[in-house]
Amino acid sequence: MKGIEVRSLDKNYGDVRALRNVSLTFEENKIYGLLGRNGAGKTTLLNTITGRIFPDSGDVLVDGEAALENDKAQQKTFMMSEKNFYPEGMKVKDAIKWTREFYPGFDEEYCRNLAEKFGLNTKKKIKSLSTGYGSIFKLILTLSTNAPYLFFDEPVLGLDANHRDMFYRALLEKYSDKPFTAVISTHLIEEVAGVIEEVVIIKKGEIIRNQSAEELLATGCTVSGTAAAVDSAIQGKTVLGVDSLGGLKTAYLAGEIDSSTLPAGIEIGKMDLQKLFIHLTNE
Amino acid sequence: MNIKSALKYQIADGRVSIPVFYLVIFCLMALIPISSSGMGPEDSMSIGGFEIATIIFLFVVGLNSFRETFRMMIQNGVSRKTMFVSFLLLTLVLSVGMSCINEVLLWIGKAFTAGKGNITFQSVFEQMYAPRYMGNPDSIQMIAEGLLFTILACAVAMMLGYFITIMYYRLNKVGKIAVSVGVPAILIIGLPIFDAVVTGGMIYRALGQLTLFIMGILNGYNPYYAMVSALIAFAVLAGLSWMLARRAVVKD
Repeated sequence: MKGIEVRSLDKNYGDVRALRNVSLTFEENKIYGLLGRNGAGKTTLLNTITGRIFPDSGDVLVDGEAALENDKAQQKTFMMSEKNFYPEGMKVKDAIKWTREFYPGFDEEYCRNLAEKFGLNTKKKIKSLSTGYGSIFKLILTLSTNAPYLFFDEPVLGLDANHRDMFYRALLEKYSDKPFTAVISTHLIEEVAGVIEEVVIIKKGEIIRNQSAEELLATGCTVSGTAAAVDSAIQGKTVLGVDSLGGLKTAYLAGEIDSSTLPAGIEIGKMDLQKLFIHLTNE
Repeated sequence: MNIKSALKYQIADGRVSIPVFYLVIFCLMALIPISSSGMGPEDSMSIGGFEIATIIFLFVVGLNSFRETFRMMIQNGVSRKTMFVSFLLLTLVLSVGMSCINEVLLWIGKAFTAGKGNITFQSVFEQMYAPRYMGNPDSIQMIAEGLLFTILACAVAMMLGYFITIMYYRLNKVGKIAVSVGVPAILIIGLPIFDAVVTGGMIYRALGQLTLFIMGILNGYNPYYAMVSALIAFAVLAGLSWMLARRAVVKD
């Protein structure tokens, strides 16, 4: 079977249960958003899949092969982490050289072009890069590996708005050229909402949602209009959140709503992923 | 493929330190004619022990071969097993390579000091096992045995360094403190006092005898005792290192 299959993963750190019986599949050629609050277990899950840490129990399969301590399976994955795993004194160009050595599909020309586009100085030492350029360096390497399964853990950490936009564009361009599986773990839900096809929400080590973004957003809707009209329309409904501006109001509702029952002047819109996420992951 | 890349990476890691090491050795050798020029007829000079410097150097290489390499390998999808095997290959490459270079340096040193009766250029191996080669110095047998002896000593030193560094990596803070304080305290203070007060020097005498035995000195200056002992030590250290490396995880 193609894709990454995670079966009944459990991971504890002392008394803390970081992953609880996590089972899910990252299918081939899809872009996933792995969403969760701080300490929900996102990084632990990605670290386990990429063999950086060992689970207490459970299995990870990459294209049907056990992934732990399996070079062939691990060579199909590449993880961009928040932390820097490159040697202290290594230069960016040397990291590129060695990544090409370990990943034969590495596209050096694409890497150089992207570095130029982002203004990354490849002659610099990795440790001397700013937080933003540290992230850019790792993003460029990850995209250039051409590995079929790419994991991005907080990919836009320290990036300004322009660079964040450039990253999302580069990701989508690369994906449309040759599709791959990307798993983006991030807090910036609003930003990735337009990029991801599938959503995995993790809460206290448990997967609470794993479905397409479209399906998930269809589980709710927004109603907007004058404050009085919205207040009357949302009576008796499950309200996930409300935004007010002047005399206008937008309410985020769980479940479907029958438009024929709404007062005049009310507009029904698509659910907001971030609002839904906050609702689902609140204590 | 991965083993080849991992080995290549680890070899490249030493691309600066190894030439620097030999530059120092070369400079030391270059000093020989200068320092011997002022010698009088009654003066004598003994030169050697470069292989001890190599052994210490490789011990340090072993000490520096885990943490950064492990993180780099894990980042690049290399398994712990491949990383460990590539380290074993690196040990073999460096031990053989540097021992051969030492042998060449020894030969050059001997060539330069030949005919100068008051200057002796000898390896530590020659000094230790001199009686075995009495009347037959610089024989093929001595060169081959000396080379084998140095290769194994280098490999053990490198593996010992590797074992120590992985052990420290795996230990928690309390464990690190306990080992850092406990081991020197036992070896430098505890054992000598215990030996002097309780056993009347028996422990150190036994350790001395054991050392002479495993080096083959007690058995007709037979270096094969030392070689077999080194092989056993290497196997034990490699086994312990693998036990520690196979479950190592990335730390922040």
